Amino acid sequence: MKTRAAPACRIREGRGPALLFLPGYASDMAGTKACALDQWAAREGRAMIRFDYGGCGESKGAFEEQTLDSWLGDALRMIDAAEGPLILVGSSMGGWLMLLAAIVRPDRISALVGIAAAPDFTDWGYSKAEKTIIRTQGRLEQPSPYGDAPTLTTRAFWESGESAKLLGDEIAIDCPVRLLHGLADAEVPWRNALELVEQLRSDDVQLTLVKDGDHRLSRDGDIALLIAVIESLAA
Amino acid sequence: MILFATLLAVQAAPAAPENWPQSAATYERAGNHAAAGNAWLAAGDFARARAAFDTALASATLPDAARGQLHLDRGRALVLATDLVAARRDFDKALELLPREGFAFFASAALARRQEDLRRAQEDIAQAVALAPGDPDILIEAGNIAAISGEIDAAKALWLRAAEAAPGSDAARRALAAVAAN
Repeated sequence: MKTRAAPACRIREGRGPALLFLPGYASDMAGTKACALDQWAAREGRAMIRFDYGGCGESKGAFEEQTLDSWLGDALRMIDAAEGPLILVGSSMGGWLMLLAAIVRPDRISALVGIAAAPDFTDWGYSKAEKTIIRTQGRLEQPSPYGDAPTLTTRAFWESGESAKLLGDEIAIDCPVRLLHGLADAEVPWRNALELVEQLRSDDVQLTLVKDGDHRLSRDGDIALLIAVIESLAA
Repeated sequence: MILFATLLAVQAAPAAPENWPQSAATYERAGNHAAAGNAWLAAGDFARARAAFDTALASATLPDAARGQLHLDRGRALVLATDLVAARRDFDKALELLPREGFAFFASAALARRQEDLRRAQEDIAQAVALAPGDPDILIEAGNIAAISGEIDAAKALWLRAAEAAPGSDAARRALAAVAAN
């Protein structure tokens, strides 16, 4: 039984509720959105926490040994170590983790903000042929649209995702939820966001669609929209 | 019957005897969906087990204890079918209805450990040990959770307690193997 290393993190003290940023798959706390939000938090005197999942960015561990569960564990450790209510801001897979974390820590989460949230992507994000490769060969490498290194999916990660699916049933979350999604998102179909809106138990759910927005939603205008949404929650 | 199947499922799943599906079908015909669900669990058919527990839970007249047991059983079927989000819902409901049931806390702690929710695992296994201090399976899991929390001495003490609780049993062998491996 191995003890898992604590995630690397950056903590900015300030007014609450603190923002906790959950990056996407194989992404890290130095990403465009995380840094832009952190700069906004600095200007506004808001508390903000960024961290890296195990095996990503500055955190210890081998990427190949990570699963959705181990990254959820990292997120929960950050939540448990923080004080007071939190607003979780999850990008892509971070949006899935944000939902899973809110289900198990309802008393700690005051609101959720999803950016191209990707719950259940192990299900709809891979073709039948890709799933067969993952199952039979234990790993799948795909060219990444965001860098030179291919994106790796291990069977352990894929199986942990399949065991944590949320869509298709009511999602037991009651806090305010704000979702941003680009209609030009080539990774996560924007119609998934409609299903998520329907399944969330909370009545206070708003979805903002950006017609020319891509998956990353990292352009200046997208960031301004994200900040406006967070400001509206804090008010 | 329910308890027996419950204990069976905690162990490494044994080869399903031929007669489990037949027993399940017999229970279903008799309208005993709780027993049918546990027989399907023992047979390794988690989808049918879940469906049988769904039917049993649909009854409006169940006493709390029976309803809690059914949520616990269906949660176990969902863990085995790897639908962990739904399993968590059932275990939480079971804990509400069975606040003195060590096994319910044990099942919840084991799920929390699997989902790497360390705080929840620690809280629930402490409750389980308090409610059932002599149960070797619960003590082994308590040792596992202590170990991943970085408390190796506490873990070894718990595994040794598990071995002493049921000398010569399969649980004792697993407990001693854990002590030796750490």
